[in-house]
Order: sequence, then C-alpha cells, then structure tokens
Amino acid sequence: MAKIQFRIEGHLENVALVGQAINTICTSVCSTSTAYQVEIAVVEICNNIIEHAYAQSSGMIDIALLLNGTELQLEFTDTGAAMPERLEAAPTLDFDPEKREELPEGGMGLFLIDTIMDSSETRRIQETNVLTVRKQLRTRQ
Amino acid sequence: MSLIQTQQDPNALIVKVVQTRLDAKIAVNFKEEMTKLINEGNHKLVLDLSGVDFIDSSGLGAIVTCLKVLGRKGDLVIAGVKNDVMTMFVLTRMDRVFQLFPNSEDAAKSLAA
Repeated sequence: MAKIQFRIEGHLENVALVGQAINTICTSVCSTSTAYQVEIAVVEICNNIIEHAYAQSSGMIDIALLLNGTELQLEFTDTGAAMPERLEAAPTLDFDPEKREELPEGGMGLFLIDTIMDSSETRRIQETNVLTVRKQLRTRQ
Repeated sequence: MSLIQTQQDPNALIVKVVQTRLDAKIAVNFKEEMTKLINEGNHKLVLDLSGVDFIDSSGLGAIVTCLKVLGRKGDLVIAGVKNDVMTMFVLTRMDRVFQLFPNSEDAAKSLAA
C-alpha cells in the first residue's frame, strides 16, 4: 500500500500540477487513458473546491492518495465554506445536441467526477470539507 | 499571455489555441478573446485544438459559450483533437454537438458556402 500526500494553495494555477502528478502515479498501475480520466476527475474536484468552497476565502487543499494494489483512493480536504452533501441522485447531463441555445456551459464537473470515479463521499468534519473518491484501476495490459 | 493565434482561410477564420491546457485558469480569457472575434464579424470559425493536451469542463464550457454566441448566424467546427482530449468530448457527449475534423484544412472546407 502506498500513500502520497500533496498540498497546494487553492488557486487555479496550481491545479494542473497536482492533476499531472496523480496522472503519472496512476500510469504505474493502469493504462494511460484511465490515468488521464483520473486526472480529469482530480482537476474537476480541485476546481470545484477553489470556485465554491474558497469562493469567499482562500486556503489550502490537502490531497491524500492511497494506492492499494489497483484500488485508488483520493481524499481532498479543504477549510472553505461547507459544500453540499452528496446528491441523492447521480448528476446528469441531459441535453439535445441539436438545440444549440440549450447546451450546458457549466455543471459538467460533478457529472464527470461521478462518471469517472466509482464512488464519492462528502463529509463536513468540524471546519473542514472532506471528499473521498475511489476507483478500481484496471491493470495495464 | 497569448491564448490563440488566428489565420484567415478563404472559407473560415482558423483559430489555434496555443496553450497546452485549455482549463479553468484560462477559460474566462479564452471566452473573451473568442467572443471579440465573433463580434468583429467572424461567423465561420475553425477551432484548432491540435496543440492542446488537456481540457477540463471549464474549457469545454467556454467553447460551448462560443457556439451559443454565434447562434444561428454562423458555425464553429473543431479540428485536430488529440485522443486524450477526445475523451472529454465523448464523456460529456459534446462529440455529438461539434463537428470534429482531423485537421484545420478539412474543417475549413466543411464551412465553404
């Protein structure tokens, strides 16, 4: 079991670095395409924290990566405003591709996280938000 | 920091993204630069993503905004999407919204009057 911890200041310019680092770690056990999808989820989670939890404040994002065989667990902790509890229903992305005026410009982040990761759980512990996501990584062929 | 470079083709304005990541960090500025081009009368656009390695939902949302700003008075097609970036288009079903071409020349031809 390997555990690696990252800490970044909650600014958008820092998100790429942590996304790329986790992508690289994942490629040690899974395909590059799966690792790329994990990077997408990491980026969307960090963006959400910065744009929502830290919308009115600033702070750090702590990310703990736990790799147990091919089971990946990522835990994101921030000290920003309370984030909504996990939605009862999975976020959807319903639109008619032909109706240009109704296409979604936002709201795709939660859908992507939910689609890419196997599970997610949000907790408010004292003054911190803790989001835990897990994914079973397919082994590299 | 320049985000895009433009090249006038007989059939369209080719707009090449010159950053390797089209993400939340630059999405707002990208949207502003693209909207300016549209408001200057460029209604047939090829967005060349051949230099982009990563796109997040903010970057994708900014491209959707451009399409909505164009409305029915023009069109925006996309060229040169790398396999990894295509993942984002497929996951969000935006591959059904945008016409995607392997290169900007073919994309521009598709916009010929």
